[in-house]
Amino acid sequence: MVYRAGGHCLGVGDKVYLAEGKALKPRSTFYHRMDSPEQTLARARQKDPNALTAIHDRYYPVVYRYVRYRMGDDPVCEDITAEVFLRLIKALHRNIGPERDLRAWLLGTASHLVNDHLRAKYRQRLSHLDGHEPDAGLSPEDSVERAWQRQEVRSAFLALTVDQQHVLALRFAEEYSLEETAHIMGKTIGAVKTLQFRALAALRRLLEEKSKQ
Amino acid sequence: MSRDVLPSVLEECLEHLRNGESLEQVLERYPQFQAELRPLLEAARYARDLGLSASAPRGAMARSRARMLAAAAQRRRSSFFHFPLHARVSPAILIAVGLILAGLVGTSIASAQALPGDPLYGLKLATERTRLQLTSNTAARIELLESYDRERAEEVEALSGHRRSIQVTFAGPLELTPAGGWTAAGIPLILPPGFPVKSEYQPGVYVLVSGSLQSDGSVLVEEMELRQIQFSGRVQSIGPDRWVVAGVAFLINSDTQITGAAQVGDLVTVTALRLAGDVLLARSLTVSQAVMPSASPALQQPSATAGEAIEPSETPHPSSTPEQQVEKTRSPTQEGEDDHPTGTLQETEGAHSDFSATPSPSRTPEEDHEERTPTQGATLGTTPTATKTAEHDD
Repeated sequence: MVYRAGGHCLGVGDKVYLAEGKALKPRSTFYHRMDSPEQTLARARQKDPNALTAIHDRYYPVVYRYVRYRMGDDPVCEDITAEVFLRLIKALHRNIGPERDLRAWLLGTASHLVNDHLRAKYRQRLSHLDGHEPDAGLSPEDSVERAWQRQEVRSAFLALTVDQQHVLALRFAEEYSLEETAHIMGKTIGAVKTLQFRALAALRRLLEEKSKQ
Repeated sequence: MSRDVLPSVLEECLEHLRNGESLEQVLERYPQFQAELRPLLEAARYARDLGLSASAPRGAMARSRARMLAAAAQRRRSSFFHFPLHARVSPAILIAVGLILAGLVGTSIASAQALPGDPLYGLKLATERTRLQLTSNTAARIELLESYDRERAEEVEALSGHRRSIQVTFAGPLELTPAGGWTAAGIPLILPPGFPVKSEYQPGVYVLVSGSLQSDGSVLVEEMELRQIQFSGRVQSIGPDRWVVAGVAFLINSDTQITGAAQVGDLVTVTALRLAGDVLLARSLTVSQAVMPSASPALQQPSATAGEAIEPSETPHPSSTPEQQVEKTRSPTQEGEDDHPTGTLQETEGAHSDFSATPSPSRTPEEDHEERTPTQGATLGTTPTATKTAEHDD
């Protein structure tokens, strides 16, 4: 049962308590037209909740995937991803936010936050992984062997430089092209190729070292 | 070919792998680099596997969205303090004003994002109360109060997931879940055994909830009561089920207690329930100051005329009509109340309390409820209010 009054069913959207002839703007404005990313960003700069929601929901999976790739099953992934969007609000408020390439800005911010977090936790994490303790978040479907293997790869991955981790996350978690990756990282395509090559070579070397231990 | 080309060759190999070729097929394309490429491509496979099963949890996404929107709303609100300073003002004045504002704005902005449990949260609530008091228009104050209600609910959503239990207070419309549980503002409520569930707790009605936030995002309820809004002002229009007082339109039904024969122009005090959809439903309406019968406009006269004639004006007409004389002889505390209410969030008594949103009114919802019918929820539901208006038509 719902409250009724005067014979009218009161539903969401009823707005009857406003002054006569003084319509209040709707609580939410629906944008039926397709805005360009620049238009959406411009509206987000005005803190339009619809634009902010559109941006958040469009890019949250992208940022989360990146953070998760860098951090593994660490529960802090959600906090870091949420912090990226809070930083966006702060930046837009101070008019220092992204002008055009929002994705590059978000992933760049995510990269900085992950780096900061890893810097603080690095030694603790390495010693933790050296003990071969499984991550708490491993799914039960993972076979023991596969889980152990992923753990070894995770351990080796975290021993890479932050730039190497960044390029592998963009290429293998986000599956961005060489050009997109170069744009996001602010490097030339040639530099990204070389960085990727060195990252995979280092990953391979670290894995071999672990297998010999 | 030298080893300098290996990064480019590796990229080509990765592209072939992405296109579905097997590792062996790819290696056959570059027989001279097989020894170098094989370990790199195997490492690439491991690197790709690291990214599997990393889909974003929906709950986390919803929490993040709520936190972001709450932060944006706070910053939107804090821009209230931004003044255009491009006018030609002497640098000394600018610096002095800047220093004063820096202290005020800095603290205000710093507290804007505070959540329950944060050191600055009390300051945030105090800032909201001050702004509520500074807002003179009754309809605008109600709107502001609603925005604060939404803010409280968003704070609770943003806090969900915290490991420690946090004391929260928020308001929102009650909803019944398919499983038989209750939510308020979409936040699951846990009612302790023996918690008094009153008949007036019906889907769609706003309640004020106090309790402790659990790690799963639900709230263990300690206190719950109907969200009531009280305001005073001149009656501007009277309809069969819809009245307007002080620019605020609200519904009435057969359960609305109307004390006195209200006419357009009378000063009345309204206590209303807030329902989902931003609708107010009056529980009681008390006439505290009637206009002179000879001067009062006819019932259901167009409200614009009534409003112009009755609403206190900053520039009174030079020649006083009898109706205006009535206004002028009112007690001093009533002067200008319609446009410049002095009410606060704390309960004030009598007809002079222009506006208040009262978690614990002197006349409690329970008392009000008990004086009427124990099945208020049911009777509130369906009956039009022809009888009430018929009285006034006489």
